[in-house]
Amino acid sequence: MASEKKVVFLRSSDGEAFEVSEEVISAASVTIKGMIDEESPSRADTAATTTLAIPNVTAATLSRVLHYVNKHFDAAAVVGRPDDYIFCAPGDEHPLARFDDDFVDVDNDTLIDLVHAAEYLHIKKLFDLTCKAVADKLKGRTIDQIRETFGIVNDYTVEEEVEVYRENSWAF
Amino acid sequence: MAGAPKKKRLTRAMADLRISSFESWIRHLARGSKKNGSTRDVVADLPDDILVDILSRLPIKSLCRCKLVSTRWRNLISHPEHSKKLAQTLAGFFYESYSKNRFPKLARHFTNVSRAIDPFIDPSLSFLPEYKSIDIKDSCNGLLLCHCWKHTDPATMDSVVCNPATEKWVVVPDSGWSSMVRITRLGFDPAVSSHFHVFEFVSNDIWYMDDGHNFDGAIVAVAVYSSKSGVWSLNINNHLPIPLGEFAMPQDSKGVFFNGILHLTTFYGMVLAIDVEGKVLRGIPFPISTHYEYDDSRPVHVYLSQGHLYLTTISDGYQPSIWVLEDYNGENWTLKHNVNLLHLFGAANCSKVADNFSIISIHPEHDMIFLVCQTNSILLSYEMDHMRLRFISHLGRHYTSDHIPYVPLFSESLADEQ
Repeated sequence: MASEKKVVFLRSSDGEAFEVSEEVISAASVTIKGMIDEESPSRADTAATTTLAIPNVTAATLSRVLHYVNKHFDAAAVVGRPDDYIFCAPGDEHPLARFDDDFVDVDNDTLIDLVHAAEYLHIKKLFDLTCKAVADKLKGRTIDQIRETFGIVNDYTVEEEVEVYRENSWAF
Repeated sequence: MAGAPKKKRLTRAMADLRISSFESWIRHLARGSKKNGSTRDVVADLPDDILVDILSRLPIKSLCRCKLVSTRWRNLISHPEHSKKLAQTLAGFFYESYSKNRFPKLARHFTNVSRAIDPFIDPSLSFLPEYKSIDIKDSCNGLLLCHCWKHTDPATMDSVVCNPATEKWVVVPDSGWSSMVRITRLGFDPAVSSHFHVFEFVSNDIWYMDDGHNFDGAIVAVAVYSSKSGVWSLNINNHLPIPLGEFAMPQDSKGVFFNGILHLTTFYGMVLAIDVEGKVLRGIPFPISTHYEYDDSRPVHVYLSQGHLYLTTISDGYQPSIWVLEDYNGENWTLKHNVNLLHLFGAANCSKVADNFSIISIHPEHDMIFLVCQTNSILLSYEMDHMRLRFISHLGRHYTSDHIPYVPLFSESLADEQ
């Protein structure tokens, strides 16, 4: 194997390029791993680094995603962490819990952009984390608050709304 | 529907604008009137499958509330295709049957109560390692607590907590009493924590290692295992905070884990509330006036439905009643419903049925109770509001009395990790 760590460049939709270790991003993103595998025959004998276009993700979001990826997928930095909370060994604390909490403590637009990016790049852990963060924003809020938070327009007629409320009244 | 022509217009307009969802269309219209930098309808941009992924991380109560957000949300949540992904409701009951004339003599079954759900639940729990026999001791919000007996002599067993929906399982370490206790219950609420607790009720005959002649089965200690700490803690009932003296409960007393507290009915006319340290917090007296005497043909059980504790009683005249504790901190059970057997079964059948049925559960989200009629081994549901009785299934002639309700849990990351 090569003694030097290979890197790849990812170019965001708005044209900014980000450097990331090939090993780390391949472990994290199924999508990028696929792109690299496709590229690899043509670059086997060349030292040139690859630049991959990520047309669906902006620079702001991509830099956040890479921050996450470097924390979670860099084998040198990561302590073994259980992905499965219920059936993990007792007393195991999630070593990156604090990082994750801070990571998703962002405004709604940024969070939804991260959900999109995680889905597009196929980074399951990040997708789970961000979806859960959105779900947490829904929990314990009134319907009006949810609509306001996410700018959703109520398209029920009054009669429909009353009917749906009646069917689910126990939950309120 | 009166709105049909209007819908047609909307569809055309949406196509014109090449905007995929109704909400983004509305947003498009509204954009002009909004101030610069106003909230963008971020959720409307999400494709259905991602929105379902987000909603799948909500507990059932929040999920039901979310139906009211918009028609798109309601349609997604109600769509049968998504039902397996989203928070679940009662799927059905595990139960056993026993017959000397067949092999194996003891068999376990699962009966669905909801027609919307496929019969995907394998009652044999075949994803567990091979054991000689498996007793399901309790079920709580998607997890099962099983005593799994090994092929050893003398018999030894593992306490196993498993999730049949994800086929994951874990062996709980032996408390020292695990194989002897008659009453053990599971406490798990994914909406609060992803850790579970196992409660074991150590009666005086086990505690003093007696053969049972000198003791009455009163509970001496409550051992509680926490999956978070991985250890058992023991609470010895030296001084109970309630005028109980001592307590004991029927083996089939149902455990209700609610607000992080386990609730069980005792022989002595009380619902006990026990915290995860094994401490008895209080006793809530049954609503039955004055003298309550335990009668196993007319058991009193506690359930959780729609966020309240419920109690089912059967009076001397075989009158089933359903009570609700509306103020959890109080002791006032409100009579919710009296089941009129005469009305349900008619005069001709009523006498046959009256002393031959039992209430086995209450639906966790609806005003519905489940009854088993022993006369013909059938499971029925009964809607309290509409007084409607519905046949669910034949349980077969040899069924045994325990029915363990089961609510599947597909997403284990429901909890807030703190």
